[in-house]
Amino acid sequence: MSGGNQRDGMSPEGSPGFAAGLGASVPVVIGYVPAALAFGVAAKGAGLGTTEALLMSLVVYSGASQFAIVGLVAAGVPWLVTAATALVLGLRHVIYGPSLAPYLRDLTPRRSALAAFGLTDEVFAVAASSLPQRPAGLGWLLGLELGAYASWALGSLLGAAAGDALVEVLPILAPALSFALPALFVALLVPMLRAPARGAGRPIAATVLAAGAVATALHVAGFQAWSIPAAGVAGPAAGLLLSRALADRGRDRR
Amino acid sequence: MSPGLLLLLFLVVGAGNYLMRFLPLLIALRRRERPGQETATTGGLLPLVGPAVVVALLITSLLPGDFAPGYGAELARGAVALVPTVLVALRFGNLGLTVLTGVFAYALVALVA
Repeated sequence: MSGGNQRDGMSPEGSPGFAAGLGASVPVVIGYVPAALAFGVAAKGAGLGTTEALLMSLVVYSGASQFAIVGLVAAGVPWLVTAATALVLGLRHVIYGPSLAPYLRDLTPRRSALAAFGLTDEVFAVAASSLPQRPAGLGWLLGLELGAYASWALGSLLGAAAGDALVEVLPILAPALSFALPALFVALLVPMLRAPARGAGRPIAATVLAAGAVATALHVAGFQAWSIPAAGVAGPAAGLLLSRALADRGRDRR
Repeated sequence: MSPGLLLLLFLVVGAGNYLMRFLPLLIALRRRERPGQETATTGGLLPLVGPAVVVALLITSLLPGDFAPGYGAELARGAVALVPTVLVALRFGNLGLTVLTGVFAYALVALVA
């Protein structure tokens, strides 16, 4: 085993491995801990115990669904309605796996059962910004997912157990930390826009503009649950249409 | 809600979320194993899904959830904090540094306004 590869977190085959994936999870951890703290505080405020808040983070493992459950439980909404609402919020996850599958070399259908559990918004965003430039294996994805999952669980536990005291000591902490996730998405989006593959610049710009417009319109109209899956379909469709129109124009010129 | 019902709720939503992550991935991998399918998917829509979803996540995380009092101020604080965040992302391209800059910038803006 070569020392250089170990230092870089590379697998013996030379592709990024588990350690590199764990390293790639650091920005997600920075974003997750404050969000999970806020969730823990909200869960406690809704009357849930520390164990219940932790259990929800371990089993449900989806920020949007968890915050919705906390709000609906606090409001006394029947559990079937609560479950249905939380599941609708999870619809966006259906587009993540298919878009990453082409870049994960050794991911077989059997192994995907393990990898799928940790495919959250932020894990997807990090993987989608990294894998097209540098395809990796299952180990890399699992490292990324483990770092994210552990931080979400620990943050939830800390928030439920001691979040109130923490916010009381540092009142500026709560609003400031709420900006961690938008900052993470900025950090992931910028390289995607700066270094597109040759000829992909204008289709990616069209994709981002269309996705942004759809997400904003649906969010403002109150259809928050649909904004991400709809943008994930409408944006690429616009980019693909432009890409084909540009290709047709190029052929006509020749 | 009783502890038993709460646990059932977690299990149902957890299983549903897991299946929404797993089944599409499984189907995509099965299709990848068939010759001729890979080029059709990677050369088309899928490379564009990443940027589309990330921009949608950014927008939905920046926009307040409802039009409660203070909506405009919250939006303005986010917009101001976004400026140094984008500049650091452009200049250094480091994820951790960008996130810390964003949090620090938002804290400063929240202190002032």
